[in-house]
Amino acid sequence: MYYILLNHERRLSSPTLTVRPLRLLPIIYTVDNTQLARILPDYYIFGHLFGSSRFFLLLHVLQGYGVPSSPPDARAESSVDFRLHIFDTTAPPTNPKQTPQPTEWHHRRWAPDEPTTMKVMKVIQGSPGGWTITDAHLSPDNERLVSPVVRLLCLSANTGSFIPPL
Amino acid sequence: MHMATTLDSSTTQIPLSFADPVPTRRRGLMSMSDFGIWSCKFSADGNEVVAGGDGKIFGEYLGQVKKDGM
Repeated sequence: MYYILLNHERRLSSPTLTVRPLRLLPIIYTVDNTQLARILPDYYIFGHLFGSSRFFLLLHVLQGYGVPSSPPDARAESSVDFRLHIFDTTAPPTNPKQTPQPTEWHHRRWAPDEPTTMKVMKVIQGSPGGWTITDAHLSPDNERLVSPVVRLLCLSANTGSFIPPL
Repeated sequence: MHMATTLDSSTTQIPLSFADPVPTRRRGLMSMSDFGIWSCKFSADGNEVVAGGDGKIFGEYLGQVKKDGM
């Protein structure tokens, strides 16, 4: 089985930074109750890929959102990057050290390279500079993936809040 | 819209443009028509991609794209 994570990477190019509070987020389980991945603050469920129940997406956005300070009332483009992580859930777990300990999970932000021990099939680098995807679909032979990409915008530059288009 | 392979190590991503190739005059400038695409699907045989958004539906035949390496 293959699963896909969407991983957004924050490029802290602005001196202004807003940090969201840590919060406990759920864990994704498969139908046979196997832990698939922790939903970290940076990752969001994007949903199962239509066309294959073997795939799903997680949206990864870091907690800090830098917003250009000038001009303060202008729409500020986000500088978020993302990557698509494709996992093979039928392969034996790899790199078990990535599994976070409960104390780590509660006391500090855990940011491993991958939030799961599933074998990484492929990492696809997304368009840099504030783009994200709104959908993804696999070809019938599972060999190709198509995704619409849209620009991320910060619509409230005064507060530094970030409004994703999802 | 971008298309990438999933099972090999290739880093190639092919942009799929559904834009109208005929330029239109907007905002005083000559520009391509623009629109948002929010969802996409492969056809059952994998030879076409259908995309929708902003009240429009688009389709693209992938025959040439597949010949180019995908």
